[in-house]
Amino acid sequence: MRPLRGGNWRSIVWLFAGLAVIAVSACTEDTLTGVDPDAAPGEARETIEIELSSPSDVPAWRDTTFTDYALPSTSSSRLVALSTDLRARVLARFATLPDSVLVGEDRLAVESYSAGRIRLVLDTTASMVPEAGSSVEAYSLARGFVTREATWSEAAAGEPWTTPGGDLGELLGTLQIDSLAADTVFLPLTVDTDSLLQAWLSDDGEPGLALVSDTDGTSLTVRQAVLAFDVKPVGRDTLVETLRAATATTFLFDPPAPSPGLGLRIGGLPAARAYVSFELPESVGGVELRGARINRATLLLTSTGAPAAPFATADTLLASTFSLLANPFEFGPKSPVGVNTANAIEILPEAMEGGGELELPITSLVREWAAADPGSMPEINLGVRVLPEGGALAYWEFGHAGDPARAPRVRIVLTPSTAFDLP
Amino acid sequence: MRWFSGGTRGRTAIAAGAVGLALWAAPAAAQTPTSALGLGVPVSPIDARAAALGGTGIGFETGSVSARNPADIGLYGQPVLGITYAPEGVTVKGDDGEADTGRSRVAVLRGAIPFDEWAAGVAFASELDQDWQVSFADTLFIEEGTFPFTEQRSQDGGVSSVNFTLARRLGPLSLGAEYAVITGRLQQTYRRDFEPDVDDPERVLGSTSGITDWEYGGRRVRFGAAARLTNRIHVGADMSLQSALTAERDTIGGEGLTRKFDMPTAFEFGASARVSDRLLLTGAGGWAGWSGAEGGSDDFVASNVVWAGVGAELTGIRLLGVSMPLRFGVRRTDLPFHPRGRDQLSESAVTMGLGVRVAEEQARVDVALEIGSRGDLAGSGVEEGFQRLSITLALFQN
Repeated sequence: MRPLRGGNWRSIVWLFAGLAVIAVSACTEDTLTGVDPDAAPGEARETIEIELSSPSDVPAWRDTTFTDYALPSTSSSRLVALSTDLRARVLARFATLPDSVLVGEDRLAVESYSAGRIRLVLDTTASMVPEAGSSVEAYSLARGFVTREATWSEAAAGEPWTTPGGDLGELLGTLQIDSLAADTVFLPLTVDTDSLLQAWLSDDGEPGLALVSDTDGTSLTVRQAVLAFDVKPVGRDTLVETLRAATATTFLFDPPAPSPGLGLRIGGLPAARAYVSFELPESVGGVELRGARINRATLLLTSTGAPAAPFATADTLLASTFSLLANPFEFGPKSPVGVNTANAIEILPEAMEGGGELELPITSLVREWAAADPGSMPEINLGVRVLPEGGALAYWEFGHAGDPARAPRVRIVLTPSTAFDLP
Repeated sequence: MRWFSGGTRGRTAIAAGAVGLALWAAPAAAQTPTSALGLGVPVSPIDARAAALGGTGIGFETGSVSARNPADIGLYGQPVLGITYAPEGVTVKGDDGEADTGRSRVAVLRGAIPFDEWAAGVAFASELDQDWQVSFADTLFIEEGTFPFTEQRSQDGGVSSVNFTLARRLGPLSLGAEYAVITGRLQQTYRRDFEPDVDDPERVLGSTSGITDWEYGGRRVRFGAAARLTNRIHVGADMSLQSALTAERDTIGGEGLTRKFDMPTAFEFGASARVSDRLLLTGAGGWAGWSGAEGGSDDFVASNVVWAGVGAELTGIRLLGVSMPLRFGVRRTDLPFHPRGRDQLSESAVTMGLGVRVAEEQARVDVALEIGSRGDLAGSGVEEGFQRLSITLALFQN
């Protein structure tokens, strides 16, 4: 064998290197595109859809409605209304009136209060006044109220008003509203402001005031009620304009929301949530659900129709589904809440009025269940609520598991797990 | 409970009470690449010279860097190392037209060292090519909505062998024996990407995919002989016995599974004759008993294979000042796997090629081009045309 010279070695090495580069792509296949799906080779699991009805297909199904997740006192808005369907009044108390004011660098005692008025910020898009205009009156309350407990019939739990709707005292002032052109309006106090505020100052705002409308057809959504007044400091001629937000506020309405009963309710005031707990079968008709790829899962709730006035709405509310970190039938209404399962879904009133279905995505929950060991996640616990909670009196109700015609259902689009065979 | 089987392409298949655990099983029909049939397409472990000479590779006067006959390495006068890379373009034919694809593989990597009257060698060879990849578009119609999707399916891998060869030279005769470890992997995948519901873009199914891995194992022994009958005539023959091919499925995504496929006993023979100083004629053929490799499939049938090829090599031709042998040939071979109820596929090709010695004749580059077809749409239900380019780089071979 002849020895190779350096140049020969280099050329051979380069040849092999080039071939090696080509070879790393060896055994590859270019994609054959556009083949007939019916004639395509290979295997794939078909994506299928199953629908499980409660409780026939899901025996361990439980559902209920819990309430009080938002109260009139914690609602983001208050209602002053009068109509054949609804009466509503706002109650407020101002317990943080100042007994001194800062003038320049001097803090001076208050000599007197004057020019009292209540600044109301209205949600004009959610308010209504008759064509002839409306009026809102402010009354002093004859008795105090407990903010979280006050209702149209009771000032506090177990303590009924003498007159349902609040025991009204002296008329403090009247505001005439001819239109909803302005979203900020001032209700002037026509009583002696100094006497009124001195009394509130000494009694921590008790008993408070009520905003009332006696004009039929009025519905005012009040976002904010603030007491505005001028303060004259001791020894000074200047007046200092001062604002104080209500320290306690709520609203009373009549009629009260009916009990949800067995139906699944979301929304309203006090705000209701539908809580559901169920165990999916491990397999259905030979298809293993556990371990399958969950393409989409939906909780289908069938509406019982529009509730009676004033709890029906023509507005589109938003429904949100969220996971529960514990079984609500063990932990009750205060079961810890997990994450939302998807973006909020619009509740279209025209569909719900006719007994339509509300489709709530729960893909992430079912996917988590399918990926878990059977022992670690035997059940799925979830809740449904309206966003924002307590934003309206309106609610929607849906059939529960004991309502055969409107029982909740779960629809799952899935692709069974893969274990291909050789031809 | 209601079941909605995933209807596609307008077939809204709502099968109440019926279970749609449907495997979209492989229909052996049009637009199926041959590598998707059964265990795939057998790969001849031959170099570019043999490919150009009608796919022969046995009975050559100086052996080759093919891995057909273990006795061939006894004919080497010096150590040899060769690698053959063989990409091919494929046109798969179907009822609705043709579609182009391509494959590439290292057909054989052969090394051998002679010492005294002995020679030892190792060869890595492709045995079965199972690579293919297809994609298509379809639409899923279900209660949830109407979801167009694209799907890609593929197989990646195949069966290879690692061959350990020993040959003994006895005058004009060389005897060889070979032990081969059959190995390989196969990965089957699919991926389905759904578009949003056509009526409600907010409604999505995302994507879904699956993957299954297989590992192959087996053994093979091969015995061969090569002889110089005269200074101008050489012959060779070999026979191989192979254990069942064991395929083990991994347990990810399902239960493990072991499948066994009987592998063929095979016979091959060939001869070459230098009829003049400038012309070499060669021919080879063989038989392989693939009929036991069916594996219980409902879709495919395995049949025995007969192959044959002839070729001619013209030497003494100089192109651009370089001596460059020109080669031509034709070949025909049966393919072992074909759709049940259809004709067995055959592959035929015309072959051509050339070679050039470089590095002061211490290395050789051979190139072969094979143009042919496999199957026929009417008879076997599968048909594809191909153009395969084989490139061999061999070192130290005389």
